[in-house]
Amino acid sequence: MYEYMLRLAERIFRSLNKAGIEEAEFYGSWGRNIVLEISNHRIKTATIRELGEYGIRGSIGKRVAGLASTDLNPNPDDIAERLKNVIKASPEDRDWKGFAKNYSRGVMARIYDDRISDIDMDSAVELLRHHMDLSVEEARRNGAEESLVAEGMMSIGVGGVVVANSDGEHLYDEYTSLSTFYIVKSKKDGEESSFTVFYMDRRLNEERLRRETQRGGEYSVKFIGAKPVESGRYKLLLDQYNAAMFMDVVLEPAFSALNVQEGRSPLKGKIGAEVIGEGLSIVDDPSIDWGIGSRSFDDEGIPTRRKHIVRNGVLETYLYNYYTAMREGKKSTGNGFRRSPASPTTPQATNLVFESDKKWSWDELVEEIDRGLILHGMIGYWMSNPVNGATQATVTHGFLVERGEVKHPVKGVVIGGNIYEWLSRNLVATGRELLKVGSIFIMPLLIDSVNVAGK
Amino acid sequence: MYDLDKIFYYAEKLGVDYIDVRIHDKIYENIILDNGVVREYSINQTRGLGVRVLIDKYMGYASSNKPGEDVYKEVVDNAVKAAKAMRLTGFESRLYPRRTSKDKVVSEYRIDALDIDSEVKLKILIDTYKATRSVKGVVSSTIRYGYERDHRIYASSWGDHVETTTRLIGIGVYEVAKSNGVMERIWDSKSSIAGWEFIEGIDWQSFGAEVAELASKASQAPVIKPGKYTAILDNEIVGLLLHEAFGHATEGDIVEAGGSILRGRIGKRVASEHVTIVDDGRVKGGFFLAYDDEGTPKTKTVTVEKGILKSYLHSLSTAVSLNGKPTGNARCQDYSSPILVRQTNTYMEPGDWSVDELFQDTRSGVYIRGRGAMGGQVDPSIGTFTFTAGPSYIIENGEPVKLVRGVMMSGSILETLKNVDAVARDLVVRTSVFGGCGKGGQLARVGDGGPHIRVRNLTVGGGR
Repeated sequence: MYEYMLRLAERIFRSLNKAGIEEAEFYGSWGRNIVLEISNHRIKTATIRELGEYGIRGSIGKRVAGLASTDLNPNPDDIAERLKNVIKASPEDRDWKGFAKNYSRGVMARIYDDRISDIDMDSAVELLRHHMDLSVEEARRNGAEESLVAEGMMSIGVGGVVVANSDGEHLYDEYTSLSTFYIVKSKKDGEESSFTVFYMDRRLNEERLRRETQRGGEYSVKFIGAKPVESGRYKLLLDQYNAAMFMDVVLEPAFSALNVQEGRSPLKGKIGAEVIGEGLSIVDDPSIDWGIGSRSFDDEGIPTRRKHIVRNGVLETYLYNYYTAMREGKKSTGNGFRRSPASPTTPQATNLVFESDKKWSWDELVEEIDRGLILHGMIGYWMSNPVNGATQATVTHGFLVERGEVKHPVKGVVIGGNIYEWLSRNLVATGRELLKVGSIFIMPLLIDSVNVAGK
Repeated sequence: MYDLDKIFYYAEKLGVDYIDVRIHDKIYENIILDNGVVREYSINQTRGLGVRVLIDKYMGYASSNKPGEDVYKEVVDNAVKAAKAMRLTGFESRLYPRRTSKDKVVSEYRIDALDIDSEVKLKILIDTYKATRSVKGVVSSTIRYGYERDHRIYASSWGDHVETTTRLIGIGVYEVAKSNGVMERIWDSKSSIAGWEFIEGIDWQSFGAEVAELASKASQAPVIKPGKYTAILDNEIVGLLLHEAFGHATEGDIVEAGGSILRGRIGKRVASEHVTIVDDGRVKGGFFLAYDDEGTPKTKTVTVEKGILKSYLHSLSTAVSLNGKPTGNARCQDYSSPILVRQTNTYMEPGDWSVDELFQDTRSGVYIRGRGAMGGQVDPSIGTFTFTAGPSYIIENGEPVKLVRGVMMSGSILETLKNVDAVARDLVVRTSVFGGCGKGGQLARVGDGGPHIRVRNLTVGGGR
């Protein structure tokens, strides 16, 4: 598909040139995936999905626009004419300095696993069935009278990306991916409870997959009998999964230079200032083997590199794509990624890695809690607000801890606060174990004075 | 273009018992004006072929958008391969044998927005942007335009042939305001099943300014004090709540999987007697769905009548497995996606209170508003939900008097619906070209709404 996309890009560039479009870039992506859907502990459907799509962005002077399509056999002259009309209608962007140039690769990481690319349908079905069964076995080992994987899916396959520009430069890469999510339901003492397994990786890491699916089984039972706690202020121990989800939604968008430049980030004007606790650092690292965000170039051909965003609590840099870097007369940090093929890039992290100097064991963290909650599951966290750092969620899987002892499971309470307070003056300690959750590598976080709305 | 006869003939030769085909061609025009600069002007086209086959009751799907005359053979081969692999799992699918559908439906519109000059569109966005920036306290303003023309052909070896074209259009604004170091954001939009005439009929500058003013006021408002409240919910938040917290639990595939709190409750009380909930593909203001993606006509389905659960929502397969009847709710995001059971427009039927009476009868509490709401999430297996509402008002002496922000409500949906003790007459249903409902990695356009309602004893929390 790479060669096909490249030939398509060349044909389109020729037509764009004829149509008077001065500069252009092409972004193509493709994938072939096996998708399995689960219902009532059985695999209900299997799908083999092939998709290729591409986008072209072009400019005339300081006017820019884009088109995207999944039509892999288009008439390039039609595309050129249509793009020209859209470009001409767009008002000038006074900050426009052209498309990225000088394509090259930066840091390299392993992102292609032959065991995934070579998997056939029957093996994929077996893989999923095996791990569903592991979840149920673990649930039973933890006291479940009945247990099943109610619903969910697994997707496994190969993808690729090609970027090219009208100056004749191009880069491509291929990667593999496995993602699975499913809900394990269990019954015990006449009560039902459930837990959602969610896992993504670039390789077939059976050890980690087993850990996640067994955790799903165990946690589907552990929260039976959960109830709300009284409203008030509590310590909150976030496990790595829930810490990662909050960081992804509330913190990561605030590092985007575009959000800073457009007044949508609370970190505007804070380079060199302490924005989180001095013991904490945050690194954008595209060089991690099998990292979901690992890439040697971004979506506009700029080499990627490892860098500290926050070092010892102090904000060192925002994340830039070519456009936002040019606006400030800087170099792109290689963080330009696209929402869809026709979209311009916006600055986004690759892999976000948290570092801390306070490395406590899980038991030490729990012992430190006089009155608090441990958070293992939540809903609604994505409604937290990156514009002001407001952080909130409803607890679905938690534990009440008093004087260092776990008392009972908790659900149905709303937790709230502000991420910058949580990571600075309210941060009591951080855990020892760094875990990869999607593209975020984070440890458990113990936070003080979190608002809890309950009974 | 794909030749349906060739596809059916080829599948028959391979020995499939049943095949259906989805041919999809969608165009989405998207303009984002970010602080006065066109950040994105794009036209996205989706085009491809998806097939589903049944062999010995085992179901397989495949799809592709690769070019080439014989691509359909590869797609059918892959679907057969997928169906055969299902023998390992033992999951047998049966489809409800309904009457054959043959139809061609085009949603109402007068002017195709793709025929309108880009300059005309941009002028409306720029004027709207200027109106928002005239509001004190606004630090960022993004105006967005979206237009979708979605053309689908569905055909099956039963003889179905349904062709639908749906047009959805709208403008949205995202305002960020700052006051005394506090930043607040509001997103709101207006969309309709229509063409360009919808855009011409609305004063977008006033709309933009209203949203900007609300963002500005919200940035100055205090955060609501967490606790239990008597709440009046407006039309918009009622729709969100019903869709997320209740509607998903009525979806037949979730019930079939054992993931719904409503499993085994047909005929039982799940809400107060004031509550009647419907799923309707053709209600005014909502999304338009005349046929689902299995060619079943979508009609009005009453899921809850006066508090009693009457029906789930079905595809052809869940209608068989759950002993129901097809309700026209089998939907897929596009040609490449498998069928899921999805809602269309979910709303509560109006009651007999006026909105004024609701407030007068509620001496103190909170008036929860949908404008600026971020949405919600539910765990349908246990019914726990959480929603972030827009800026809302504290009710004192029967009047909404004090604006508050950071309103997040949560609870158990069945308990909440049983605590509905008053329903107003003012039904409003809305849809959006900017989003929809996400499930199983697929996005579906939906609508939702209802009248104002009152709920006792609602848990409200808040961020800072």
